[in-house]
Amino acid sequence: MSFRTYLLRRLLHIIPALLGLSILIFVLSRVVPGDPARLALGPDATQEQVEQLRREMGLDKPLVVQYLRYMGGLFRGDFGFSLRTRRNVAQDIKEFLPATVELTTVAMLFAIALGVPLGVLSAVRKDRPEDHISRILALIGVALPRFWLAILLQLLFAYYLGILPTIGRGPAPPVRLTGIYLLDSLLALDFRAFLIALKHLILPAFALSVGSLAQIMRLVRANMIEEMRRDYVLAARSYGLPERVVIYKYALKNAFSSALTVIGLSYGFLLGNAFLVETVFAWPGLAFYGVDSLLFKDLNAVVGVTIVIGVAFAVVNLLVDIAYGYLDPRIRYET
Amino acid sequence: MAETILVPQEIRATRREELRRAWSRFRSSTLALVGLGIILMMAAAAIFAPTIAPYPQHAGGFVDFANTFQPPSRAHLFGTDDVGRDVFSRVLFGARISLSMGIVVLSIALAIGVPLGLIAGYWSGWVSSLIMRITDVFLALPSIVLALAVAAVLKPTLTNAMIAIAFTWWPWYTRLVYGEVLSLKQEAFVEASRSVGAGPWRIVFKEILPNTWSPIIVKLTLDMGFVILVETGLSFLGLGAQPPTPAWGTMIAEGRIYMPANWWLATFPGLAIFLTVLGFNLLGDGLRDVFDVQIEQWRGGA
Repeated sequence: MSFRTYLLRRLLHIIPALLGLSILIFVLSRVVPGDPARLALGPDATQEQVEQLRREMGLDKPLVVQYLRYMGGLFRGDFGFSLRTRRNVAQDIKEFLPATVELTTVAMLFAIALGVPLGVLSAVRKDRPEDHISRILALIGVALPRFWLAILLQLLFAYYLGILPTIGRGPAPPVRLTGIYLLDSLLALDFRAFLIALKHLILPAFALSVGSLAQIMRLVRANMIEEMRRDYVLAARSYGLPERVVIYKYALKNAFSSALTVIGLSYGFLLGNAFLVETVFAWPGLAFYGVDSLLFKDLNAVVGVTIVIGVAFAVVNLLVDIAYGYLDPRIRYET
Repeated sequence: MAETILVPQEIRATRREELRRAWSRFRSSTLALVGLGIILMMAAAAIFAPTIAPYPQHAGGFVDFANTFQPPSRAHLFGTDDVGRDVFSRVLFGARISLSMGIVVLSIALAIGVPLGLIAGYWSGWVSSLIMRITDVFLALPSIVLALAVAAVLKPTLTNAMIAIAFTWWPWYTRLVYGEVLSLKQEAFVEASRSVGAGPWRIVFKEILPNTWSPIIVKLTLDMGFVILVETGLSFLGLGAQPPTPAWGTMIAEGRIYMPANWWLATFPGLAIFLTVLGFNLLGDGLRDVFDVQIEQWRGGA
């Protein structure tokens, strides 16, 4: 099967899964005990007011009609009305999504930037102290509850040492282009704003990244150990190539491409844990918004956020597949 | 077929020999033993909480305003909280909640996931593709996000958090068993029992299922840690156990309000979560080496 057919096939898998997800979440949100209209208006509203809001929200229609209307709206960029923020959920998502994209991307970069070198170090110095230390760190990283680590980091770096900000993203850069502060400040060539944004990102992004960091490290280590035993490594060494070249240019290239799929899957960890870490750091992202909507039972917002997260997860995995295909053209795609 | 000529005693003897070998392999791994030790310690804490805890009455809604916010001391190993309850006693009781939560969630996930995986793997046709497409739907979202959405729809209680997590967890077992069955059904012993006239249900439950236990056991062990991470996360967000229940996640959420001055409130329950998860991971890694199984341990969001 060619790479293109493989990608098409993946897409054909993803689309029904996402549609199914939308049905699942939608149905879940409508079987909720308690009337969302009553919840929105509060106990003081009259029965007529509640009935009127129910009609406005289409809650009096059959479930299938409600779903089809909702999906029709989604494709026009209408995510329904949020009972909590009193505007279209699409507007809310547009406002809060960039902060989560920024946080999870930086966390993933941390995980790769630290996980890959640690994995290589561990593999190259197998069974030496460096290896033991990195492996123990990886075991700790997987087991740490992210929200607890977030609180401890806050306590240490923000309260006791006072060197990093405790909560939030800091002031917005003067120009909003992407909503991603790091990018916006760079595009405006405002390096002071860039530094401020970066300072706010360090703690939450690190707390979020530890699990992925540990997984990437373990996988790169395992793959590297396997690659270093292969003939081409021996051949490269026998030609007298410097060890650095053998490790980074030859072995790591192969070890990393097979670690890549895991990076896509591990993005799911980041998205999931963002709900906890954003809450601890009051990071005004989609997950933080999602948690508030969940607690308030703001159902349109809950459905919207979960669908956006499902799509984001699918897109990242598809991108990883594409990258994998380019990095490792040998790969065969089985049906 | 070797099995057909073994008499029951011999089979038992081989099994015992296998177990003995497995144990000696397990024993040679220090980390796995450390994991087992941690789990045993936590299980003991959970079972004997009422007797070990210095202040068992502090597990629920107890108040002692004379003793609020005591830092850790000999009388209160982990200090006291905002209403004067002993944090150490509450952490011990918290072990009951997290461990039983993990056991119940995984039992439900097994009860749903394993039969579906067996069916989807052994028979082919629209039922089995439907089952697998449904697992795709569930796995399209990081499990913690789906669990949050389900928990939010229900009333925030411990039982509902349990239902929500179990609801998101079974597809992993369907997928695992499905993969195992696909490869096992090609094996000679399945062919052999088919040739002597065994029906499909007999083959699936008596021949194939017993051979899928080792990867399932390894996954269950590793998953205990992940389920506890998700459960404490839900409780932390206020979508699981509610105060005054001494759930670890709830205690951290409550204690966080009184940071930074009263650091012990959130620190010790978190340490308990960390140790428990670490214990299950170490034990799971050890079992994986003993049983020599390869399983994809990729959680969508735990």
